[in-house]
Amino acid sequence: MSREKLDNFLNQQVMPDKALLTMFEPLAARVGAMEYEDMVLAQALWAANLAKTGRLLDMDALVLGFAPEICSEQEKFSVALAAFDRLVQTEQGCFGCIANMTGPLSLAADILGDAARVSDLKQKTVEMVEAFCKTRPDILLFREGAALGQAKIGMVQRKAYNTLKNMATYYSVPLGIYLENYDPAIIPDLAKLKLPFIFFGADQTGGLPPLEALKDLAGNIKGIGAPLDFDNPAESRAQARTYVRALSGLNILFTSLKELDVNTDLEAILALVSDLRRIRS
Amino acid sequence: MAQASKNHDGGKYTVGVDVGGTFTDFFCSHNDGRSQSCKTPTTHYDLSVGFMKGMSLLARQNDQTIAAFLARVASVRYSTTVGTNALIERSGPKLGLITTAGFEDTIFIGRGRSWADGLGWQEGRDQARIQKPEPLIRPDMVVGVRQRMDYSGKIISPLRKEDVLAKLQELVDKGAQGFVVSLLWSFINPEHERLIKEIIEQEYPEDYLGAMPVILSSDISPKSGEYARTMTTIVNGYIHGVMAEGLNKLGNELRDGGFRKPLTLVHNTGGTKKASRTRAVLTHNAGPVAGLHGSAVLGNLTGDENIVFTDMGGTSFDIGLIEDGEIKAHDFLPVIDRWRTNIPAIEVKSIGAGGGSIAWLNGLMGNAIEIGPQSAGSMPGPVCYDQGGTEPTVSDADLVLGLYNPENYLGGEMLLDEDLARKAIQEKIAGPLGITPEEAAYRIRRLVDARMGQQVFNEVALKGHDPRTFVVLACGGAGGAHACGFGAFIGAKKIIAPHQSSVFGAYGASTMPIKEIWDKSYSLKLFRWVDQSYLSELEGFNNIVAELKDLATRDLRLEGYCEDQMHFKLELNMRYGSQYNMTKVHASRLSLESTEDVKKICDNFTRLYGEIYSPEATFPAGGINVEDFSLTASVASTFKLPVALDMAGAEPDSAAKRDSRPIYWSPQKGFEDTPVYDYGQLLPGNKISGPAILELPETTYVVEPGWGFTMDAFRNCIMEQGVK
Repeated sequence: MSREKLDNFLNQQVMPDKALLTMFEPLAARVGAMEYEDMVLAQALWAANLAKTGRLLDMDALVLGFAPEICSEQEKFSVALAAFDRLVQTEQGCFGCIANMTGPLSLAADILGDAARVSDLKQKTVEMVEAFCKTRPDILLFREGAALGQAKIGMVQRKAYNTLKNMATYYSVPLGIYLENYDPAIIPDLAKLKLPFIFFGADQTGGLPPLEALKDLAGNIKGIGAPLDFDNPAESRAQARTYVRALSGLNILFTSLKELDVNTDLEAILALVSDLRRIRS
Repeated sequence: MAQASKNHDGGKYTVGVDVGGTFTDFFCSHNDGRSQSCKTPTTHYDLSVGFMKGMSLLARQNDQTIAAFLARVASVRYSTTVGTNALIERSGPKLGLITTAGFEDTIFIGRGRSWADGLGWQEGRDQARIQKPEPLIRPDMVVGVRQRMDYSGKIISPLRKEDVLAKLQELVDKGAQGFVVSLLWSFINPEHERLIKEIIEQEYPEDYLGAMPVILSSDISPKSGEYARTMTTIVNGYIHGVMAEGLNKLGNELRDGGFRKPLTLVHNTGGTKKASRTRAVLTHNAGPVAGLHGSAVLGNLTGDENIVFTDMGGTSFDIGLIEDGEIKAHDFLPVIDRWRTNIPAIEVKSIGAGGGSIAWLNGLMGNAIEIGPQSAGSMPGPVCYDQGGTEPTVSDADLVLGLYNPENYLGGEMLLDEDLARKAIQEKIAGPLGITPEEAAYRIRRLVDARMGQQVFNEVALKGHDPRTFVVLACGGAGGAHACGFGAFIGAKKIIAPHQSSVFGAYGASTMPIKEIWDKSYSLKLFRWVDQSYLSELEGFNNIVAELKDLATRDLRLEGYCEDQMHFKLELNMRYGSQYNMTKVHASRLSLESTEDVKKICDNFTRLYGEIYSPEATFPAGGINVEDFSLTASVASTFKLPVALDMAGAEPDSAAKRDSRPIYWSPQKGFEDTPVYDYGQLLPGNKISGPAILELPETTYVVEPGWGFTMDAFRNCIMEQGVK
């Protein structure tokens, strides 16, 4: 088990074999033989199950905190923070440890009903970011949906991320966005946010992002996550081969179109991951 | 230049690192004269985080992995603030002090005015409020042993082992974690101090858990003046452990990253040495000293011999002088934090005036605008950083005036929020004064420029120079933006803002030689007025110099150098008998062979004294004494000077021009459209009349109205008044 591929990605060293980073907390609960709702109340089990599943699936990184409600409730956030801290202490030597929280725009949309009111939540968001940064994640990932993905990238969005980036820079923690439910036309403008890493989920139609847009963006930021449809392993293999050809020389890793849910076919995933490991540029 | 020795076989890069209050700067110079630089926010919670991040950035600039880059780094020269931080935060160990019985209160009496040491002039005048600092060693942790020597080192009262053991036990019972030993006249005869150390080490040998460090004043600072000598030793002992731990950690991270050479530290005496062979107390304020050294190197390049070096960073404004191409000024009993020491540190004055200095209204002075000394630091930083800062700073003022491009700060990596800055200035300054935010920002800027200008004037004029004959070197992240402002106060005709100005401390560190100063107090009468005779028994003088040279030679050998690479310079602190102040005189030879050599030294002293104080002030009737010997041992730097580039025409290329923007130059004229240039696209020889803004990723040069800019053959920004 080694985090070498993720380290290459983080250091912008483009290598033939790509890191694999996907979200699988519901699956981790299943591997740990417990309900997801119970797992996210128990920091030790949360971290342990995630690590166990990561080993089982031969992943390069573990993402904790993907569920949106974690940032909306103080108690859930505290548990997530403690679980992540434990994860970093015990697993960072083997895996990339990625902390996830709801992005500021999506959080404003969820809590206040209006993404443009993002500055009203600034203090809270900054506190959460600082708390995560102190645990020294390899990446602090923001999960954003339509609130960012279907809006024009303007000063509101840039300021929102600028504050968080300044905070994270002090702790030397790189930031990233996992973007879903987006309009593909905004992809090139995402570079204006000046974040080092952007990973893509499904767009607003449930599909993959256009290759040319990914290529353009990857040339302007430090690295991108190219999504694979894990529900369709055969297509995933073809997608992966397309990515390594079309995005050759650019710093990419593979991510998933969506979170792996509790009913995911483990055997299929294992086989897929094994094949993906053999796909090289 | 230095030749390679067995431990110095090349590698490709030399990296200078300078930790500042807000940013940590990096400068990487190649063997072929090329260079790169970068800045990262200083991570005060763990300096090694920002350090390694900067190394990663340099690796990336060289298109290499961190491991490949570090493997090719020949030397890392590090100006660290670990020790200074430990003093300020009081995170050092609990030390015990063993001194001569009857003198236990020396460090608390402190020459009578220690309560003012380390305070600015405003605080120093507010005598009703001054608090003496908490001592580094508490009174109950000071013990006196019965012993006495006279001024010549002769033992008058012997040291008794039983007495030492009893006092030692007293300190151990109170929880001492280390011992400082400082006895009267130990700099002449260290026998008793060494005996105490031996006794302690016999009681608590190395293999015991109770083994504790024992630091002798005769080792750290063999100079007269028991207060300064003791405090130097205490400060060294206090920060030693914290520094060792921090540097060990950093050294391990560097080694794990692929760096194979020993880490080198910058000293405040003007040289560098391996961390493992550095005394902690010599690292204080090393960053500005490195910058001053870089000024001397730059001055050699540009042909300017008289330079006032300035460095305006985020937190402080540092000033030093280059006179006749050399660094001449050493600090007299330099203060470290609140403690007066006697290390031979180079003088660099510092005031709290940086880009992060906070502007506030002084209600006691009729709501006058004041700047600093409080600083917003790197966290939260200026308001415009949008990291939670609420107090307006100098950088906020500059942004509101339009001098900074909010999209270009740190190469666009950090977006500045002008609205937040304007709001803070309105709330805290403009509103209460009933003026516009722009006018408030203008006043903030003019005030900080005036403070800095006055300080620069004082530094130059009080050393007996005409400031108008000095070139101003404007360094630091904010230096280029304020140089025309404070330069005008000293009547400076020429300002040089070097192209590496934003990381000048790191640049300076990369230019510094291996060097250490070995000094010792020893009083000798060189000239007797009564019989007009010069010292004829030269053995005493020569023995002292030989002793210092032996120590220095051994030390440099352990650094990995052979004797033909070593250079020695002898300086003598001399005075007329019965006078107090001393004058530093360079001795043209290390050993004296005849009274003629002694006469030459005395004539030199007389001439220098007359230059400084006037020929009428010389006082040969007092006789001429030497009191301190100072031997500088060094190995020449391998730093490669840049090669002059070809000069292009005066007119900048159109590619260099960016969109102009409105800038508030004065309340009379308000905002005026001002041309903006990309500095990276300008060429040597290009000229621009002010007002103009020249932007680099890490700094901004502001060419104020009435000034003109030229780029010299080394890509330095030259600003001259009245040049079109």
